[in-house]
Amino acid sequence: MGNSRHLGLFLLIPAGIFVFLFFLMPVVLTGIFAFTNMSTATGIKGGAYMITESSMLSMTGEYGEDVLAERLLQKVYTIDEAGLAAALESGGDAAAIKELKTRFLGEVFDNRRDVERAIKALNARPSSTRAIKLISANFERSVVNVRFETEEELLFAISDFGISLTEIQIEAVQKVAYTGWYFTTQNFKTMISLPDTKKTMINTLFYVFTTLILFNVGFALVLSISTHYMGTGTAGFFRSIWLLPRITPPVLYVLMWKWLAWDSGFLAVILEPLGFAPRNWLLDTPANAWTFIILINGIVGASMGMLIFSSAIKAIPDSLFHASEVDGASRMQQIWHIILPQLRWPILFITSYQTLSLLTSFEYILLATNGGPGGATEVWALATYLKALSNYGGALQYGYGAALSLVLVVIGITLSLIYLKVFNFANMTSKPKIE
Amino acid sequence: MGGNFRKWPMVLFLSVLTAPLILMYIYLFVDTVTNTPPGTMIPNEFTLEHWRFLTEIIPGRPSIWLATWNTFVFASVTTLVVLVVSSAAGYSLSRLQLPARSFFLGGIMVLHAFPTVTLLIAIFLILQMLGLYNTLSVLFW
Amino acid sequence: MRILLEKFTKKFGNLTVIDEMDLEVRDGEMLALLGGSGCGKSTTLFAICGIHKVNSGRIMFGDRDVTNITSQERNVGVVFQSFALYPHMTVEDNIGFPLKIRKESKAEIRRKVDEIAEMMHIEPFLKRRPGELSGGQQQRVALARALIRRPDVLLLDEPLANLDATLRLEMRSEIRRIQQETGITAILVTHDQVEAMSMCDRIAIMDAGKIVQICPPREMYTNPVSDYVAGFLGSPPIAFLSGQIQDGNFVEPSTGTKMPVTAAIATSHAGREVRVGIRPEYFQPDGATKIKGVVSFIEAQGRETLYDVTLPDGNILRSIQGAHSPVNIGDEVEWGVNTEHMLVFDQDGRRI
Ligand SMILES: Nc1ncnc2c1ncn2[C@@H]1O[C@H](COP(=O)(O)OP(=O)(O)OP(=O)(O)O)[C@@H](O)[C@H]1O
Ligand SMILES: [Mg+2]
Repeated sequence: MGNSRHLGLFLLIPAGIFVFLFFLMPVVLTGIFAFTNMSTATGIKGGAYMITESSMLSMTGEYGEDVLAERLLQKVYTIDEAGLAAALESGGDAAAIKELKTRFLGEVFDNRRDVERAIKALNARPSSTRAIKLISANFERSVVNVRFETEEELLFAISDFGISLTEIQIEAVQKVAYTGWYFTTQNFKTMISLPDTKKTMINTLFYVFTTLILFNVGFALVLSISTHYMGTGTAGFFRSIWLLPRITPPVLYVLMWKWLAWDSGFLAVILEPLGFAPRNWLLDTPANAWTFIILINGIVGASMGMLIFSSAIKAIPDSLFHASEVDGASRMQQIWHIILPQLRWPILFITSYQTLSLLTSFEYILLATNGGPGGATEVWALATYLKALSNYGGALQYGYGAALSLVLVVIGITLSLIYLKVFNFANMTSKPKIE
Repeated sequence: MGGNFRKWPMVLFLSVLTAPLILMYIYLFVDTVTNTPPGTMIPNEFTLEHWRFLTEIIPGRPSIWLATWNTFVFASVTTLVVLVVSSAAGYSLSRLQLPARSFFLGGIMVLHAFPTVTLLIAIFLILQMLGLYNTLSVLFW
Repeated sequence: MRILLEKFTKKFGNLTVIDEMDLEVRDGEMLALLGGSGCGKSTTLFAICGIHKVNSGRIMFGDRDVTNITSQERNVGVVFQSFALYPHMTVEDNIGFPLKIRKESKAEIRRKVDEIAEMMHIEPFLKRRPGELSGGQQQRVALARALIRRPDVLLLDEPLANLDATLRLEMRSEIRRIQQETGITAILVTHDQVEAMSMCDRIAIMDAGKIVQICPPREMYTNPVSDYVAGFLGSPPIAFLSGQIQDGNFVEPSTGTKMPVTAAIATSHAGREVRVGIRPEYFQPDGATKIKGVVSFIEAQGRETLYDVTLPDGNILRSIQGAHSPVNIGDEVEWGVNTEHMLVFDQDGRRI
């Protein structure tokens, strides 16, 4: 007994490692990432320092240093050796550059027009405006959008730029110019404040429950009950057909639907003579998009219920069917009074299991509508994916994505614990009889 | 089965429901071996050109056989690992009287609640940190 | 209601299970369908209640041809071998199910359920589920469900097979009582000859999908048409000996014992091989035609004792005796056969 217990625990170790690697660790990491502002902009390793439009916005907002902010964002034009060399390099008029050097070296202009006026005033002034612009372009100096690896480099560049900073200003610049990630609860505040969040939540609830009731349970029942009333061969044929979508690669499966729905597809061709202008039925209105999303997911989802319910129906003794028929039950009465009551637990199980599946699934929606049209079919898991891992509006927001997915984790675990309670799992997993 | 009831109404009923799906699959297949002019549904010529990736290397695309090999290696190794790990765990859970057995089984349900996207985010970030993104060995990680 | 099967044939694929069976069950009668395992008893029953469709032939209930009518419309009550109670319903709902299906009012259903529950002595269990009942209680619930809507015909498929010996004895008379009280036409499928003989008005004995003989139990016991029927009825079973008819006697070959037969047999089968069947109650110490053998087995059955007597060629004669004979295993005895009750069969097993 003691020995076999040790053996049992030993055999569980590999599974434990997998569970740890693929379930627990990601969740813990997600929990950590959720409280950072990680994104492509911040990178995921460390940070750098950068003066940007947005960092200067916070400079004004958080520190009230609007003058400094404006100053740092400015571009100035300095006639220096480097600029002169670059001008020569880019093919500027050599005589003009030489004269510029002797007369204006070290001079600083506030804007490009002043530089160009100075060039025009030269004796050896270039003939065309284009040639003047070619030279003037080389003297632009700015600290904006330059990446500095360290704090010192940034401060040096600023002082080089001709701005001297007070202690307080140095601190402020350091804070706002840092591009690396740091810990924050901003993600959750953003999530609560954004109207999109509520919409996505409503979408998710609608998607999960509609698909679940209509297909994962409803249609699965239709399939398993109707195949029950057929010969074994016919039943097997229909069940295999309805199993196909689950084993078809999602890309192909969704492609099939797209062929059906897009503006030169099957639906468009069929409906055109009836007076419907060809259009992409998948994306033209939110209602149509939802219809397709629910069909696409539901047909895949129904197969699991179909298999579970079919085997549960098969487990009902034949004599119960015979008895009810002799007792006078019609087919509908037999379904209602004999089959459905016997399917109570399978239905409950599928309901809970598939709620979780639907809650966390997004790949078919991603492939079909990508949340469109206009975010109408964006559900929580998809939003998470798009925010964190897809180039959505330019930057990948790992931190915000993680925060979104953390919400999903919490909802999922809460639901599954409730389900376990409902199932009274301890009773279901009665003690094994063989040692 | 089917007892006393006529089978054909059910067969008819389900055939009507199933026909669109079958059609979609047939169309999927037909489309791979034919060319169809736009604006119609009827294919006008038979062709094997869409399958030519099997025998030729199309410029700008990886060889199908390399992709197949990758898929095969990946699938076999994962299957093997999953098989060994889960049968070991399955055996010990079903046959041996372990303490907190129902805890483990309940855990399966809870594990199911973890969104895959969580895993994706975590793994993606870890791979980025390790600089392993887009290499084959990662698949076995 | 009279049940009539005419040339009823049932096949499963290529396998013909019942071939052109004719059977009549008279109105108000209880008929036993008796036969060995796999001979087609349940198949016949399922065809009568409409679960199986017949391949050819006719089934009549009274004057109504029900051959192509579904079981829902036949108005038969069936008690299945496994009882087939609906596990998710209470006993009350189980019994009321046939009425509920017919959309009778709740009050009406209640009244009828209470009435039949009283008749079956199952009132205390009405709120329980089948899983919480003993085998005998379940059996009575199944019977109640079969009877509640006053079926034209009651079919019982080995209803007592799952019960223990005492309960079986009790339920035998119970079922018979209810059948007689309601006057319903009933068919009892069984492979237990005691059950068939004790409960039924007539017995139809089946062999490989055919009805071999159909008549009242007593007559079938004393006057079987074949050795199969003779062997099926009677406990302990009849013993068979083979030999020849010579000079008006059956000659037992190993001892040369001569057992007189009727004049008709003596002439019609003179010099031919036959088989005789001797029931244990007609082989007694005081019997007329003595035969020698060795006691090879003794079984005390309480009031009676059973002896096996082995003849020199290894054939066995059985004797059942009310008074205990002072013999032991291995003793040689010379007991007598009461040859008037000896049954004689020809080579094909037919009674002569
Ligand atoms: N659904 C079926 N398909 C094929 N053969 C069947 C089927 N039902 C019964 N049979 C065959 O028909 C024959 C008669 O079966 P049936 O059930 O009537 O026997 P039975 O007399 O009731 O036997 P038992 O006393 O064992 O219940 C058997 O040989 C059986 O194998
Ligand atoms: Mg049977």
